[in-house]
This record gives sequence, C-alpha cells and structure tokens, in this order.
Amino acid sequence: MFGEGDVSGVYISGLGQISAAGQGVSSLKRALLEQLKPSPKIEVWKTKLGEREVSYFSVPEVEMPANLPESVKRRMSRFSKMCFASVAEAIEDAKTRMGMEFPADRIGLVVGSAYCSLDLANLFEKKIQVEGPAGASPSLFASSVQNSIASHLSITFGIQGPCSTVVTMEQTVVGAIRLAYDWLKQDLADCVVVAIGDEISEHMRYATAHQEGAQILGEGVVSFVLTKKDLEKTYAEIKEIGFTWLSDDQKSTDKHIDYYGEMVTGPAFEVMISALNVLSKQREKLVAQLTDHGEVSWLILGPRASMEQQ
Amino acid sequence: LQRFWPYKITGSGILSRAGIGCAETRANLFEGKLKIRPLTPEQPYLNVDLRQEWFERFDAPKSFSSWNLMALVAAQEALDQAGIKNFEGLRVGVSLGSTVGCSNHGVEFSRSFNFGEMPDPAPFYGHYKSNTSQFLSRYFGCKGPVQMVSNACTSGADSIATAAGWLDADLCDLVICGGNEGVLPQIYQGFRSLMLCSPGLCQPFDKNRQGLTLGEGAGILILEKSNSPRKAKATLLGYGSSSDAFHPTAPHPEAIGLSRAVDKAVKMARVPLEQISFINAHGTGTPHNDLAEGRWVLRNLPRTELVATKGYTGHTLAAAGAIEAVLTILSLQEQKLPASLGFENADAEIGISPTTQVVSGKYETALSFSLGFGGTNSVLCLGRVT
Repeated sequence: MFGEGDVSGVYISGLGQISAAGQGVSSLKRALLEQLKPSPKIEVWKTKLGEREVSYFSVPEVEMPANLPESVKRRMSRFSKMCFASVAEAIEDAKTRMGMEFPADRIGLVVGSAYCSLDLANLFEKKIQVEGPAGASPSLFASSVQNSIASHLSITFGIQGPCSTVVTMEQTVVGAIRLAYDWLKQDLADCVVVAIGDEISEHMRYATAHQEGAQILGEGVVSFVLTKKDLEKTYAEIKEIGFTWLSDDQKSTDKHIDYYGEMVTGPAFEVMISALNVLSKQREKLVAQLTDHGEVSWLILGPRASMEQQ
Repeated sequence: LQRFWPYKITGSGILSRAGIGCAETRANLFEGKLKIRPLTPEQPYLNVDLRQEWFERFDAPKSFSSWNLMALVAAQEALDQAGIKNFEGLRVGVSLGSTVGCSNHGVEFSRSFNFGEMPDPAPFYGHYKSNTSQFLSRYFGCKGPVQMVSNACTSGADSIATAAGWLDADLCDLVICGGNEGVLPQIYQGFRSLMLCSPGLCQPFDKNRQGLTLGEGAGILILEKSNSPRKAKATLLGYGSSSDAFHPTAPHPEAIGLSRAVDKAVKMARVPLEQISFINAHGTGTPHNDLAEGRWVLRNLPRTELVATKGYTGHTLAAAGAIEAVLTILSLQEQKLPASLGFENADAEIGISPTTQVVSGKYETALSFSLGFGGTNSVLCLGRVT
C-alpha cells in the first residue's frame, strides 16, 4: 500500500521470448550455446533506385496459447500473436519459479514497441484508401490502435493493475522496463509483466531496401515478469536504470544481433540474455542503447543480493 | 515511496477548441465566450486553427506536423508560466501521451506505397524519428528521461503519473508532461466505423447523447518536486491506474476498474473520498462510457459536483487526460466550475447530472477521470494552492 514499507529491489522472475531462433527461451539458449544462427529470408523490392534486396530474420509460425478463443486469434495481428506467445511463457515461468500467484489487481502490464502493429494499421488505412469511408473496418481499427495488444493481453490473462504501452523509438526498451520498475517501487503493483518487441512490417522492408549496406532486419518479442519478491529462483536484480547523455563513443551492447536481427527494440533480447548470464555466472551486466541524437538509456542487472552474500 | 509528494505544478499550457492558452480558455469556460462552430461533413471534429505566428516563432516549416507544433506551443506556455527561461543546472524530463505523435501517419507515403508508386521512404523514418516526446526534448535541449506513452484515452494522465515517478526516483528535477493529439481522416473513419461518433456536437451525460466528437489539441504541465523553489499553481496529490480486463473497446458497465483507480489516487493523495470537491469526468458522450462513469459517481459521490468538458474541447483522445488536468487546475484557481456544454436533459438511467451553468464554490481537491480503449482507467487527484 502507499506509504507503507519499502521496496528493496526489483527482480526478473520470469522470461519468455519469440524470435527467428524459435519460440521459447530454451530455443534461444540452445541457439546461443550451439551457435545456430538463423538463415535470413531474402526479398526483392522494386524501388526508384532499381530492384533492391532486403534480408530479414522472420519469426516462424506462432504457436498460440491453447486457452485463447478462435474468435480472438482471428482478430490478432501477427505482432500481437508474438506478444501473446512470449507473455504466456514468461507468466508460466514466473509461476513455476515463484511458486505463487499474485492477485489480478496487483499485476501490471507494460507493452513496449517502436512500431506496434504497423502492418495491421496499414491494412486498415489501405482499405479506406481503396474503398473510401465504407472500407473502414471496426475490427481492424480496434486491433490497430497501439494499445490494443495490451488490451488483449490484459483481458486474456486477467491483468487488472496498471496497464500501459510505451512507444519511444530507441528509448522504448529501457523506458518500458523503467515504467514497470517505478510501479513496483511506488507499490502500484506487486508484479509487472513487460513485453517488448516489434514485427518486420512491409513499410520497414520497403524503406530498408533503399539503404546501402543495411543489416539483416529482425523481429520478435521478449517478455519479463518483474517482481518485488527476491526468491531463490529469480534470474537477476535490476540494480539501476537510467537515461543519460554520454559522448558518441558510448556503444550499444547489441552483441547477439546475429540471432535476432536488427531491430529498434533489439536490446530487449540483450536484457534477457544478460539476465540468463547473471543467473549462471553471477556477474553484473550493463545493457545500453544509444539514440541517433546521443541520448543513452541503460540498465544494470546484477545477482540477487542474497546470492552475492553466498 | 513518494519522496517528493505533493508534486508541484508550476506551469501549464493548453491548446484546444476551448481556447488557445490558459487565459483564453479560462474566459471561454467561465465567461461563456466560446462559440462552437457546428460540425460539417468537411470538418467533422473540433480542430485547432494553427497560427502563422507559431510557425515563425518556433521556426517550423509548413510541413511540420500540427500535433508536434501544438505540443510545442503548449509546452512554451507552461514553461513561461513557470518562469523557466533556460534549463541551466536542471535535469529536465519529457513524458507525453499521444496517438498520432508516435505512430505512422505519413498519409501521403502510405497512400503512395499502397498504390505501388514507390515513394521516397524518408517520411517513414522521419515520422518515427519525430516522436513528440523526443522532438520536444531535442527542441528544448533537455537532458533527462524521455517517454512517449500510447495508452489510448488515458495516455495524457498516465504521462503525468510517469513524470511523478521520475521525480521520486530523482531521475530529473522537473518534467514537461502531458499529451498532444491530432485528428487524421483514418482516425475519424475508425471511430465512425465503431459507431461511436455523434452526428452533431457531443452531449456528455445527456439522455439523448449519441456519441463522441473528436477534437485535437495539447495540454502540458510542468511538474516539479515538492522542494522546488518555484511557486506552485496547483499540486498533483495522487494518481491511480487500473485495467478492466473486460472488453477491447467498451468500459466495464459497473466501472470496477475506475473504482480501483480512484481508490489508489485518493489513498496516495491522503484525502478521504468524501472530501473531493468536484470531478472532471471523462464524459465522452457515448452511451456506455457515461453510463458506467455516472453509475460510479452515483454510487460513491452523489453529492459531489460533476463537470464534463468535452463539449468544449471534443474528445482529444490521448491528450484528453492532460487537457482536462489543465481545465481542472483552472477551476481550482478560479474556484469556479464551467457549465457542461452539450448537456441539457438528465438521463434517469444514469441518475446524476453534471453542471449546467458556471458555478462558484470552495474547491480544494478534484479528481480528473480518464477511461480508454482497452479498458484502461487513470485518475489524477489535483489540489488547489492558495
């Protein structure tokens, strides 16, 4: 409750992911361990510069949670499905690790994305452009609204605490985690589910086709369950989160980009990989992201306090 | 947990159909000077007429997005009101809520792409790189956290709450926070397809209400810690947020999520619910929203004054929570509540009525409600400064 007690730390207690490496944290762990890098798809786009190739890592068919009604699945964007799969895994992971569940109104939800469901939003617009006002589809509109993913997730998983969608380009990853962190610190929630990622849209592939030497595009979603409880099986403690302006030599720590591809919200994968490393190696990890304009957002993960004492 | 509570609001800025700036808005609300033009097929929402002087003052090209320009004008007014001329020695954050400010609405690029015309991709990158929060932060040279929230109609209120969290965490000394919104054709068509748009101007809480009227604008607050040397114009006492987990586009009929958000806001504000002086309702004019919200008020605060301001501003979506926070502050300062424009006939099913004329009273604390698509609920508790 407000003003009662203090929160000593915020912990990563559940993880989920979907990427070109596969669905599930174990898929990515295996890919990293065995250095199984995904093969990119190559596509040719017609541009005014001529025919140009674009390479990207695509997420395979998403396996959806069994408890989701068909009617809901039909309305969901591909990106929304990725979020579902990732969040479902993270919640199950947290339940197993923590051996407990939180009351629905004490669970929060943050979705972070640079672009949200851009293909679906474009489809909604395209139908209007082609058919006129009669082409406006209410279901497409409702599903293309940026917070529709958070809405579907909160309904399906019964999340009744604070709920938000962060869309701040390169500062999305740290911003989304920071928001969840603040809710926990302010006792607005006991547990916050954070889902961060993006899909590769048509617009993005087309735009990338105009870039010389573009990297292989990526897509996917990483989910975290953050809690205030420090239990034996939590992955790591979030030690610090900040936003600063540093010199241009500050480098992003995208070290595993070959496994998930170039994406604005890619550092979410680095946070997850760092959490896994912290759990196994018990060393602090810094994840930072630099924007085009020199702002840096960063977070430091470390071993749980109780582990450090051992 | 709230180390710097109560948060000082040292400046505010507003642009909407209700007025350009606090002074004009105040006159329009409390002196009945506003003349709302009827909606037309060509102009089916309440827009803000951009002024040439803004483009000149802020050195903005003609192609500049109207929503970023509105945010800039409102932010400058808020900073002027706070007496902040530069940010020397200050860590300044920017936290805004918007729909169009962080989504791909390069209309011409999209049309050209969809018709296979192979457009220049610059607008695709350009739009996302001009996300309103990042734009304002760079424009003013702020060196602090930046966040853009797109949480439908609660975004503006949520962004103010985020700002308070940053202050408590000592991430910065002050935050430019609030929301901005523009109305694009596809957004209007989307709401129309959901049959949520009123054929005429909206009539919040009226028994003949037929839906919402979209509007555009910006509302910006300068939020500072309780120990800031600057004089507060009002205070942010509390905030609460929750999710209905009920329906993608409709509120819970019994407003259970709103109820939880109010509980959190008044608890943080340390104000008993019955001491709330008035409520600035979300009051969109849609049958479902007003019924759910009205039922909550009837159950919990039946004798508390209720105001609905979307008759003046239209529903400014992601900016609504911030614009209404500014309107609430104006009421606390003036000790007056505006008439709820558009309301004429009480709805027996709701059982309560909002203000029908300008009223004066002793108003110390107020709640401002925001309810959004996806079942999000956010409540701000604002306090008067004498």
